[in-house]
Amino acid sequence: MAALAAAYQPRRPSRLRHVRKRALVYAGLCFYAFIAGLPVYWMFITTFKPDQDLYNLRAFPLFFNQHGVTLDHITLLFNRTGFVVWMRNTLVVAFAVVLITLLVSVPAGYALARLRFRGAESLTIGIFMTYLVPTTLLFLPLVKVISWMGQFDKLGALILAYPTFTIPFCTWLMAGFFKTIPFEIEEAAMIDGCSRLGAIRRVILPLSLAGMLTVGIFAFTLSMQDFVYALTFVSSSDQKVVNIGVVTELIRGDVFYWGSLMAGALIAGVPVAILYSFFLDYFVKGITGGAVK
Amino acid sequence: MARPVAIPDARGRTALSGLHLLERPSVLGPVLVAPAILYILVLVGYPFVLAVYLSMTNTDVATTGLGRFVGLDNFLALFQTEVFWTALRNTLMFTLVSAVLKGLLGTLLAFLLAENLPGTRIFRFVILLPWTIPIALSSITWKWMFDTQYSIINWIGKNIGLIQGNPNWLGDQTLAVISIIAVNVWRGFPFSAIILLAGMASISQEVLDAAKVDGAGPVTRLRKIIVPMIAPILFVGSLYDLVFTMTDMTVVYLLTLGGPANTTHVLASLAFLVGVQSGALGRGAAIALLLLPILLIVVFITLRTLRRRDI
Amino acid sequence: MESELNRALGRVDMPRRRFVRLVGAALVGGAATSLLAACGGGGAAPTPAPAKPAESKPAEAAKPAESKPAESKPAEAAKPADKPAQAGPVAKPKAGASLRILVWSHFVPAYDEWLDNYAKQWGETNKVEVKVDHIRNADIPARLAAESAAGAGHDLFEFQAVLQAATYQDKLVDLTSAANAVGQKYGGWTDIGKKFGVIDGQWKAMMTYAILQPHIYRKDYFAEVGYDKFPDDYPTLLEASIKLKEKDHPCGLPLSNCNDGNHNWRSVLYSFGGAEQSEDGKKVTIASDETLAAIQYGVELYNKGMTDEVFSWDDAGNNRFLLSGRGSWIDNATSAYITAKSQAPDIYNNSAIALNPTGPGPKGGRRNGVDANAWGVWKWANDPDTAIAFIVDWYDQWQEWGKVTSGYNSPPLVDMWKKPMPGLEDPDFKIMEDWRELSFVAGWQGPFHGAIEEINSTFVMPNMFARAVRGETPEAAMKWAEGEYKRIFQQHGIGG
Repeated sequence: MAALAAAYQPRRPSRLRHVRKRALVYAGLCFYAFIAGLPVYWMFITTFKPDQDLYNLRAFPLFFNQHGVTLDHITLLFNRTGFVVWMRNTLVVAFAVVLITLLVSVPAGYALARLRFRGAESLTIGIFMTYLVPTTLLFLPLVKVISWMGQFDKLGALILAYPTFTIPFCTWLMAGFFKTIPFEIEEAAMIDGCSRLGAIRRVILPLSLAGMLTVGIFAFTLSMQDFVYALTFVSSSDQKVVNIGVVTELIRGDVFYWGSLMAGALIAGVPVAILYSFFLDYFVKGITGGAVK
Repeated sequence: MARPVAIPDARGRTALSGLHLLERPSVLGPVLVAPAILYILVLVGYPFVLAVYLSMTNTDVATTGLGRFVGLDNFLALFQTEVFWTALRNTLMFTLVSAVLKGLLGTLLAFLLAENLPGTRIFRFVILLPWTIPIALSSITWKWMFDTQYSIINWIGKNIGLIQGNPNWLGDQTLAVISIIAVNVWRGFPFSAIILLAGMASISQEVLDAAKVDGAGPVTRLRKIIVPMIAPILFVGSLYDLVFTMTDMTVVYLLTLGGPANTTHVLASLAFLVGVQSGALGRGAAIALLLLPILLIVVFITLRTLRRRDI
Repeated sequence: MESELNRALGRVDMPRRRFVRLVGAALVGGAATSLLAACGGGGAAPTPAPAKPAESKPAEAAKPAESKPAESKPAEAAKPADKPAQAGPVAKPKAGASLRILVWSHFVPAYDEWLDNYAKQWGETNKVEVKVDHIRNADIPARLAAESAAGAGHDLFEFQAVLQAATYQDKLVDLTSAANAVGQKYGGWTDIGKKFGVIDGQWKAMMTYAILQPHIYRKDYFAEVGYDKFPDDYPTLLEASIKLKEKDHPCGLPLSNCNDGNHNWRSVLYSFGGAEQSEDGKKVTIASDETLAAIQYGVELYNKGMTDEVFSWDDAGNNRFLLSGRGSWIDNATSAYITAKSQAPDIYNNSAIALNPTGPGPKGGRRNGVDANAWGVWKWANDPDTAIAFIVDWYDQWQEWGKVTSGYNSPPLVDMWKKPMPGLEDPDFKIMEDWRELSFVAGWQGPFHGAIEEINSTFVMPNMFARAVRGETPEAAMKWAEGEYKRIFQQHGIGG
């Protein structure tokens, strides 16, 4: 990333131009950070603000007021709901989905990108088309399949269902990555005496690590984004994932537990963002340091 | 070229003969694709066929079996309702408008991040937040921010003089449409930026440097070098985003539930309301099914546009 | 998880309260058991508990072939219940069975705590493994649809406001004998209880409670503009609302796609005499002079008494509106009022609950659109008899759940309406003891059937008013609604 950015530095900037440009970039970034961060800041404030201040129209909304800071909302979230279990379930589902997705899409992506066989072209399109099938259309018929597999109202239902949208997309993504690896590298390895499988193992897979990481991240995010499947396949408190748990148990029609809702959103969302930031760096570095030059 | 017999490794002959077959693309290909195909057939294909059939029956949520076949009645009845056309128009408009805005905001952001000034990492972390927070949770947050009385947006807007009165973000037809698009854009622009950034990183620096020496500005570099070179990634990224936005019902379901006066429904939320909440499964399936041709058209156009620039 | 939650809840409970409840439940349970024993076994079984484990063994052994006999059991059980004046043992819980219950996240959270504890104790007493899941009320229809498609999930569930007993009738256990038994014990079912519970002569759902929608108003604001109490008829209410809005205290009935919108506007429509369908539920009668008058009234009330925020409200919108101190009156279940007690004591002290006003005209009256909930038992329940036994025992707890919800759960049986009613001790709440004749569920004057369900869940009612408010003529809005009603009736195979 640093190396990449260096390429964008102007060659011989005059000092003034340099300073002005920096100021502009920072101003732009601040603007974006404001837009992206405001809702998160609002979550943060709501999480720690006592109800008396939260619903007081005369209180200054952007910071804490006369009643100070409270941990009540977080206490409620942790002690009176299954939040901890939902978080654990979310992680279990997400990692299982990532694993299934990788196991299925990496080989498929490789085959579609680099092997010529009958029907490869139409398969590629066919697989991607399945990504277009809306979840709203699928979920009721899917219920029958899921229950036939004995997974209804279990985490397994989600682990089975989410790859239906991660596999098509990630297969395409992997195919894209495999395409960027020059054929010569693989051929060279095979001329050097590797079998094709050997070449895949020793050359192609290491080179596409960054791609796999990206795919993993996408599968992870996608499985945290779903709402419809999680809403309908699972309703036992101890089998819920976090976004459904928070929304279904903290909204009671007449009563929104805004403090706890925001606490849930904050605690579920921010760690993923940190993880993401970390992997994003790796991902960008992985590509720049990789085969594509 | 690939002559497996030449493998110098000390491998057994029997193992080799099994592997031998796998060396052929015509065998290895199908073998590697098989798990994906199987998965999709069982968990997408079968339910999909069932759903298509359901859309032509009078099945409701309680029907055992497949209900009575009614042909295209569900579709014809659908075309006669006003709310369907509203939902169709909204689906297209929400998706396209937010796609354009996401693209613009994301591109600018990618360039800003690529400057990599000190502190960029912190900015990047904050800016990535909208993308990582589960959509259901951020929709709820926005609902709270759009509240008629406690809206933080109104409070800030009024205090810096941008907003007058008390805009009713989710209650006024135009504002509700803007709000839904805003949430979609807010959520999606970091992703556009990431895709672009990753793509830009994959372009060899010499090419860019050369272009810069030749006096190509950022816009020219983007249009003439970056976009064509990263077209495949861009294509997959924007398709992903288009499909996600177009088939998503979470934002509408949690923000307005289609209100005010059924003006903000999208096909996905309408399908859910009719097919599930009201129990008319067949008619719900018909609505959801109509998303498909629209998606196909959009995908086709996207594909064409990008292919033309492609290699 | 469940035990964690219970532990957490246990920690919250005052030990003494919990003790009282335990004793109460034990007493009631004991009384019920001995009563059942007296009727069934000649009264010589004071200690049924030791006998149970012995019984349970064969029952468990019979498990593999349980689904069919289980289905036929209610029919068998119907025989003793037919004998007049004796609430015989309708169904016995099977020791070792499991019972999974799905209910909504109650708007009065104390009820959830109570139900969880009660279910746990009931399970321990009857050697049944009971588990209660709570989900958001709006998500219940989707959940039921999924369970129906899967033929699996919970055993016993509670419909919330969207009463789909007609839709799911083929998949629901016949509760006739249980309903008869409970009905006999408590002086019969109220009208609304009968209206949607009985499908083609069989009880498919047993009403748990109604949720009344009184008008909650600010005494101080009304006094300011010259009214010492909430107006008793709609025209006066309009006058008052105009004056209140001038003082920057608007009122609010949601014109959005939410459930409060559904029944709030039904209160107006019904009180003006507008009816949705004929008594037999076959003919759409929404287009009428009375409906037109109601729409015109709604438009005027909106223009002169509300602000546009009613367009964006969810079910909680009006609650927040009242709690913020701006609102002058809303039409809502008492949960808003109960919440005010803890969150905004000032507002609570200045608020009160009022009867639904009377509508004008020859067909006008005092009619309040209410929500109702109901138990249903899936045919694939692990053991339907256990579920039925749970339901029957639950009704015996009516004093308890009346109290913990401060009367929010309005009882479904006639004898439970004898004054004083549990939970309504607060003088302010007293008027709710007179609500039985005021309560109407969606679909008046006919039954609550599949088409009404769809009309309800696609929010035709608030949208009819919303369209007129947004500029259509009342006639056009009514015509649109009539079109929707007829289309949906037709799609459900009803003449229209």
